[in-house]
Amino acid sequence: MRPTIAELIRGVSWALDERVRPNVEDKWANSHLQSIGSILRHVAVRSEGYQQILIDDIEDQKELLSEARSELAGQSAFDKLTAEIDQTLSADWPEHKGHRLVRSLEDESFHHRNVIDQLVIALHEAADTDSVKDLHQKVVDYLRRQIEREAPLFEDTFIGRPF
Amino acid sequence: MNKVISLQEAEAYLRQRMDDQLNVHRVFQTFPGISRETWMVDGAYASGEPLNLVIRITPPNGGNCPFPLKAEYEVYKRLQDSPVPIAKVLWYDEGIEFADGRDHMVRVLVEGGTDVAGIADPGPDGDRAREHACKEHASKLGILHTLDWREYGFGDIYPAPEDPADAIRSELEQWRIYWHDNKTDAYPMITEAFYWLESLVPTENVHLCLTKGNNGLGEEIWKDDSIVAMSDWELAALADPSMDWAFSQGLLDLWDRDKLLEYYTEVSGIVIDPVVLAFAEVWTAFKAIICLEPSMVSFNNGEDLRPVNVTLGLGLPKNNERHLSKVIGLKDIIRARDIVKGWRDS
Repeated sequence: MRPTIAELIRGVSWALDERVRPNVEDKWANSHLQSIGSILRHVAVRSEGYQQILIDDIEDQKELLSEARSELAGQSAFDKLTAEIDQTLSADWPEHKGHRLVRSLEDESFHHRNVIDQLVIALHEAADTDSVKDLHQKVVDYLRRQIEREAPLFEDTFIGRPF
Repeated sequence: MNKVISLQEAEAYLRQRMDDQLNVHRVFQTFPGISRETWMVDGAYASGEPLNLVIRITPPNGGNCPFPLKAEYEVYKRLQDSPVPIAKVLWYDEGIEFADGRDHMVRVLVEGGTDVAGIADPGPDGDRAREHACKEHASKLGILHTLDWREYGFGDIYPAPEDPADAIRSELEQWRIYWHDNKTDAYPMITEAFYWLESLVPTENVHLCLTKGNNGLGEEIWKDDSIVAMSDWELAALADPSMDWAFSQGLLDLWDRDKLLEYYTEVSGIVIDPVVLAFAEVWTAFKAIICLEPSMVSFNNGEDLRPVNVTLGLGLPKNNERHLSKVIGLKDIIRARDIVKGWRDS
């Protein structure tokens, strides 16, 4: 549908920035407008790019978790974690007529992220072997990719003073 | 939800607590006051004597701060008869009708302001003002950091390690627990960062003292070229003094970092180790994430819908996390500090 969500937000943001904010003298009201501007920029980017970010990230998460699963197989210290990995990788996520909705993707991404969080802890608490070090480096590399992947949602949207 | 404190509400409350004949003429909230709501009350007692109070109230989101307002009140109370300049505190209360039952404390307004005269001026006059402001602040931090915190009862408010060498490790652990209990999302990079910081924790040349937390430019009350009150103690802790220098809001770069720290050593006897300070500067940038992200709880559940919760609880943590991800793993904390300082200054 035109206008798109991003186009609608661009119009609202223009009015707030150019026509409303210059006429607002109250510091608190001005601060709210500053925050609203950031949120609107974020929502505009999120409306167009978030689904793709989630799809790409979930693929990356699954690769990492599968690799971790095979690296840690048979090591009793990681039994609980590998069971968690198995569970999250085999979970069914809701579809609507063959398509994944954003909420379903968010839920899956969140579950994977939680398991990756546990993986980080488990690797730091484990004995310092070469295979643990290698896997740890792969986790850190993934985390950096994930952060760069979602950077457009925050980097040029939450700008200026936060309040 | 945030409620505006009306003149009538403030007057009724203060009449009940202080003087049933007093009159309140004006009530207003100061800006920004994000971590605590700060309300100024102007009025007069029945005798005609002016009444100027400050009411600090915990916002509905809990205040982007790991420590409750009660702890801040206890700091004020314990410092009343100390050499540290501080406003007179009157009382603390919670769970009553005023301010919808939110935690609050009342103190006397100190005459002065947070602006420091002349520090933005160009040329030699500005240089002198900047040097003076830095030295004045260093002197006051020196008084604070050399205070016998045990004698003043701060061990009853804040956890303290047996061995001062563990001061930073102990603080890191307290914040790790706070983060674990309060974050609203999984942040594996932050988990990774905690381990990285833990591996670099300095244990040599570490001191344990009462620290203020956010301090420096814009935080203290100045009058006639002097700090007359150190204000807003929401992040006070028993920690290494470098933590205060790392959180001094630009003071280290206002005049001359090395000369300023030399002067601080002269007045306090405390030597700030460059490695400890570098760690503190990285840790301070990291702490902002820990403090601010949990403010999303009350936004997400509808208790505190101020949009600033999103800029502080989502935008700032995500951007800080991205910047910090570039230094995590470095073995050289000085280099990490320089990178962090680079993006914070940009």
